[in-house]
Amino acid sequence: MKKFLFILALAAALVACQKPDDPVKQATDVSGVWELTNVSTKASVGSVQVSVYLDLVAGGSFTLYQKIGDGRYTVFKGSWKLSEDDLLSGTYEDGKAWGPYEATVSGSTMTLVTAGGKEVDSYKKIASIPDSVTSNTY
Amino acid sequence: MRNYKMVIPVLVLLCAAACQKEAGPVEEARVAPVVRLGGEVVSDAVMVKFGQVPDEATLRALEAEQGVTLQRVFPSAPGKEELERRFGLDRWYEAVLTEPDELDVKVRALSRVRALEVVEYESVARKETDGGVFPATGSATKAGTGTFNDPELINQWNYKNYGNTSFSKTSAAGADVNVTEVWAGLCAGDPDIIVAVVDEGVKYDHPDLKDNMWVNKGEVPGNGVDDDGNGYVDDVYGYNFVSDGPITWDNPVYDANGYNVGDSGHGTHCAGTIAAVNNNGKGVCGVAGGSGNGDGCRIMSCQIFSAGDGGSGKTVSKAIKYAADMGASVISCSYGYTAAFASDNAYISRVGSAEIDAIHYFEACKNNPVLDGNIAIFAAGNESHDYAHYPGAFYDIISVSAFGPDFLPAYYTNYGPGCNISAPGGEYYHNVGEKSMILSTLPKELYNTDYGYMQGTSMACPHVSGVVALGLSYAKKLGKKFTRDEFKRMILASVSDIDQRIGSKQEKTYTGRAPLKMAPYYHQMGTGAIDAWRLAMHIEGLPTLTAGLGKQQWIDLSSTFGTASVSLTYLKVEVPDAVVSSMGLQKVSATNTEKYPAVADENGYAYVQFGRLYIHPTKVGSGKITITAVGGGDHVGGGSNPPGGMTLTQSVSIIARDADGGNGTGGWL
Repeated sequence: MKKFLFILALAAALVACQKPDDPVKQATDVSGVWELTNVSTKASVGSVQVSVYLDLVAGGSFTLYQKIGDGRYTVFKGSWKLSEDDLLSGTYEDGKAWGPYEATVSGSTMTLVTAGGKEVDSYKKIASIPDSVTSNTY
Repeated sequence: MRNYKMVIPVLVLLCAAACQKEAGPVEEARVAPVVRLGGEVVSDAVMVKFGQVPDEATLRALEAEQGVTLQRVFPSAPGKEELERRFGLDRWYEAVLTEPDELDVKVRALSRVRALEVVEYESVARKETDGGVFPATGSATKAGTGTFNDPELINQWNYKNYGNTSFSKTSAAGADVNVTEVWAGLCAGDPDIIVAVVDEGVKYDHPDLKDNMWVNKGEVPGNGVDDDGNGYVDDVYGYNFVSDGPITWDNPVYDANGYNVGDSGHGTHCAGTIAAVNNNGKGVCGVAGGSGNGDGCRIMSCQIFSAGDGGSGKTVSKAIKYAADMGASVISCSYGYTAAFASDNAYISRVGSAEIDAIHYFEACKNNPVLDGNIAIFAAGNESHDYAHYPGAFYDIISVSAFGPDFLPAYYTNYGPGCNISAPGGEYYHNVGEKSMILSTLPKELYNTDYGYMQGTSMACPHVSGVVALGLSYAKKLGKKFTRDEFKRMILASVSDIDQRIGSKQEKTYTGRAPLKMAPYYHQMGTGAIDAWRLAMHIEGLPTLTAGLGKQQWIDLSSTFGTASVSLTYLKVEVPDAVVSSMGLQKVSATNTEKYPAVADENGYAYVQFGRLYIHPTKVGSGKITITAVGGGDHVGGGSNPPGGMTLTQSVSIIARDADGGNGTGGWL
């Protein structure tokens, strides 16, 4: 029995000491205010000018300001969540789901990639949504 | 991105020619470039372009020295000499070998002739269909429910597709060219707009084509005389450039496997898609076939395939020039060259090619009051290649890919670089027999019926040709003028979104074929699916807004009334009955109107509130809704204080489609 406990303790010590240099994975922090800066292949874009601002509030709610073509910004609200493997998804207020996107944050840039890899949207972090946007909504 | 992998053979040819040391008085160190548009070539002739117009002595000397006979490719047209010179058409000759020789050896020898600027293999064109023809059986005898009374219109999903599963088990509403509302409210054709079908001969006495055939009024039929002096005898409806004689369409030729390699009705089928006579109580409709009042666009038959022969570079080039000289505004070219061997775009652009020169000459001629030129349309090819075939692959020529009634790429279509736009080409294997293919006119001599089904980019091409002809007709009606390049841009911008549907599918499945993965086609079908209504709206200068189906939604009016649209006072909304019917509009009603004023049309099919137009379409359709607002005040001016504004009445063009969202349907994420 003592021998067994010794082996168990040794195993536990080995596990505890394993890969001491491995970085601890930091949770991706997608919360903040983001401005859409680049769109790779979104089908609906075409030659139309797209302007999107996304406020991901840390508590899990979001506000989206969107203008496609001329006119004013449309405001969408809802909730979001980030899975352990950095898949960002959510639900609009009307219950319609969106995502998931593979989310990566590097510095002040967030990249959202669809599961199939077909669409890649890039966002830059900004301090707040401009007044020219929030005051120009429906 | 249209420089393909076929450059190397050209370079090999050039190097081989450069290294050769054959003796001969005309040979110099320089080597004329060699061009080849496709894999299969004529075995006993090539085309050569002189550096300057040759005199008789030069021609005879070269013939004697090289063992060829030389004949000018392009006859000159009176009054067109300057344009012919600009594109070098006066310097192209066909060199026919007088003795059996290896063609490549002769090409190398000719390429070393100092007087020659280009040597071109005579590539042999092929029709861009698989040759499968399904004669129509049990023709409809009652008028359809469409715009016109042609009984088979109900089977032409390619003009208006409501998603009827009799055309495909996966039929998609909106997989069409969206033309019926153009016919109903705007324009159906114009006899001054002529489309040349560069193809097999068109059966010009077909009961559903004869009234829309172009007629050369300068020619007396059948007298054996070139009455108009254009170099062609009895060219009344066009000309047979293969036999150098009358147009034919009824000579099938069968190979050892029993496959018809001769006349198949291909040209007649394409002609019917472009301009079969509409509203005549017979058969099918054509995109620009008129309204039954003699107002259809006209078909000119430029025959380049005949009884299993034809399609050579010289034949095709002459046919295209004929179309230009005799008044065609559009050439519809459902042929191409096998892509196993093709020179790259930049090379051809720099060096030249008889056919490309002929096409550019055609596009430079002015044959209608709308444009300062003409427009050539080509099929993209049927090999499932990820690039278009020549000549359509050339960078400034419109090339058409094909989709099926499911609004997904057809398994055979070429796609990717060189493919500029898409159109219905039909597709078998949809578990509905031939109904998923394209129905059009056929020669009765071949099939014992006047109508039948085919598929291919050959069938997609005439859809675009027809829409272009229809657009030119409408522009003429409105007195609008454009440059050729402006109009080309408008064509390519007049599309519905096919990528949204492609992107929503991993693969499409068939009955009797392996599934087809969709990812390679995403964003590779040109700018989208040609849309006749959008082209008409571009011609009017009216932006087109889109709405989805099956739900009430709003459409932002700022593109029509400016960014002040949300605060304008609206007076009236008018929804024509035709629009209610076209889109299957459901009634809608505004809420909270005491706080937020709204104005509705008298029957309740639309209202405006918050600067948005609210509608509820249930069918794919198109139309214009008229909205009146006050500009510069909350009431119309005059007699009150403060002064009022002016009345502002605008039309809003709307397309309702299943795949498109409308502005109020969802967020970006």
